[in-house]
Amino acid sequence: MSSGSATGGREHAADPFLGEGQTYGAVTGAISTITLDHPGQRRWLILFACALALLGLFAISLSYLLIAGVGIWGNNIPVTWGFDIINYVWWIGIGNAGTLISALLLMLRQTWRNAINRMAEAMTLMAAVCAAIYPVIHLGRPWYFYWNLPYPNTMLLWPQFRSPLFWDAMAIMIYLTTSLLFWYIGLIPDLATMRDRARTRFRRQAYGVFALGWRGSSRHWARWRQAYVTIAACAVPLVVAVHSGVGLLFAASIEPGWHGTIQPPFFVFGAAFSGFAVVAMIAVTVRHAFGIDGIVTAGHLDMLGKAMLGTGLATAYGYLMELFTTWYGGESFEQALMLERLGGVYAWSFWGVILCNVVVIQTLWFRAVRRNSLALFTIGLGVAAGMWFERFMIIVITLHHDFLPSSSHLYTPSFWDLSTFAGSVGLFLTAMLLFIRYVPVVSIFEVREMAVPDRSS
Amino acid sequence: MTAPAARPYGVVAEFDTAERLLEAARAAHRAGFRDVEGFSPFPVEGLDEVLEEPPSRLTAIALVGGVGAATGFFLLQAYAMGISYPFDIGGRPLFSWPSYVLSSFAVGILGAVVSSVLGMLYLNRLPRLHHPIFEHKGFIRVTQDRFFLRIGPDHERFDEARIREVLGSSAPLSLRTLQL
Repeated sequence: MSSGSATGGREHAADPFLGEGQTYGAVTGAISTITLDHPGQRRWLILFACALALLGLFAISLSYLLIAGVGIWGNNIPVTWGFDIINYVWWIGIGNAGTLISALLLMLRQTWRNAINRMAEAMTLMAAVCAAIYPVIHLGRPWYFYWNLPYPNTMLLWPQFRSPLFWDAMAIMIYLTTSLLFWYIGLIPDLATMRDRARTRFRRQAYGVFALGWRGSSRHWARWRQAYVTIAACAVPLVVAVHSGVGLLFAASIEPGWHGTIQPPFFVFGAAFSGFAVVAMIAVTVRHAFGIDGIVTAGHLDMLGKAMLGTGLATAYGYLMELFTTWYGGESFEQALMLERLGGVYAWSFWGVILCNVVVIQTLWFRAVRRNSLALFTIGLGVAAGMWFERFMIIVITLHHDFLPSSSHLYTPSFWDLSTFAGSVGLFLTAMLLFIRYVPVVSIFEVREMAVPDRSS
Repeated sequence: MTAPAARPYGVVAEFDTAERLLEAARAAHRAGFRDVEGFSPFPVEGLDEVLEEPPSRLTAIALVGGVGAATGFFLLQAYAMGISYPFDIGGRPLFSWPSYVLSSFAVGILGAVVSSVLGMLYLNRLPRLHHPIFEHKGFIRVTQDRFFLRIGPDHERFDEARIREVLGSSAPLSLRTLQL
């Protein structure tokens, strides 16, 4: 592992991923206190009120959508995929990094994941829920969404198994289930800790039920670990399947700008990129809000910065290849589209992408920037915005004029597009805040594994 | 099954480090005890080897679940598209198997994940909200910072003095006998 090499000149050659003096008891106390005593109750309440307000907006937007139909959105012919698909792809992308951090690094035995895997998994789960809502609500008649599932029905009809749309629906649902189970299985030992430390009877019982009677038996641990690693091994290829499935939805069409073999891998990299950005933002926030610098260390921020830089460069390669193949392919519609991206009506989205996803992340080459919380948060926010611009660019610029002059129309999001998007952010924030409040934000037992025994007691 | 009023569950020793737990487990194993179980706040590397736990069947369960689900879903798609509802799309063959692969793979993953979760719970006999070990007053620290080793009655024989002697030699923080 090369990550620790940069700390060579320091006076204490301690673990860069754990602060000084972290004993089993200290780690357990520091993390479970966040849930049990909840320091920062007032700040949490203020944030929660804001998140609930946005969630209320979401409820209003969806209710109006159900009453009035998708005509309330800015979608038109030919821009049939507007904010609904932009936001779907954006949310599902954010979800991907959680699984990568948690599952991939677990299998690679990278112990630095221990302090951030729980938040990353929670982020994955919430983002996947936000993502899953979009394809359903854009159906027009969302209450028939189950027609997409293979079940014996009175119409004797099957879903179209040969369509990427079906693959996509399956992939999202399975991704949601897998993320939920992976998160929960990883949570069981910590729920037992909460059960044993909770002071009120109600809390003891509530955590106790979810802990399933966990008692840390050596036999339990052995099987638990096997199950955990098996699920991780399953989840990693699923990440690739989920997002390349989204990429195939685009690549399988003949639209200029979409019909390319680069789309599936390009989507996967972009997804991991935006996910790492959001994980970095969450890690920085939690670290500061609860003062757990000894558990989520500058070393973690450093690794997250590197991950953002790496996936960002891979994404930038995708942009470069799109430009190159368009030029080299010599196809006039493709070239017209690329000119439209560079200087057309929606050029702001292209240049926003270049600025946020290519230019700004170059600062991550510097160690001081990666270890600076504020800088990392700002860059993460920029990347999240940049990736949203990218999805806007891919979807709207391609659709707003393709092959025929007759299928040419501009797209402007309506108020309801914006309110639904803001509302889905509210859903994400509400769920994340509830998670921070009621579930240990950091995997206690995995960090404990890295800590030292307390000799004084 | 006979259930007498008080059967011994075992003698439980408490330790403050994983090394001490391993040491005590080795001593117990050397002394010939077989009903030995460790309890720890995180998985202790090497404890299974010391206790000679048989490898679990969990990976096999996950494999069967995964391959079974993937195969089943592939066959379902082949049946639905080729036999039950043949539908010509652009002259493509009805058994266009490459397009069945991605979703079969995803469903296979789901099968593997669900069967490993259920398999883990089944093999661990969870959920079980109460257990004799919870009678131990200090046991709540097993989820925080303490390690425990229990030696139970082997072959229905419970030689408490002998067990206490073996466990006592590892200098435990506490030593307690629990009844079932």
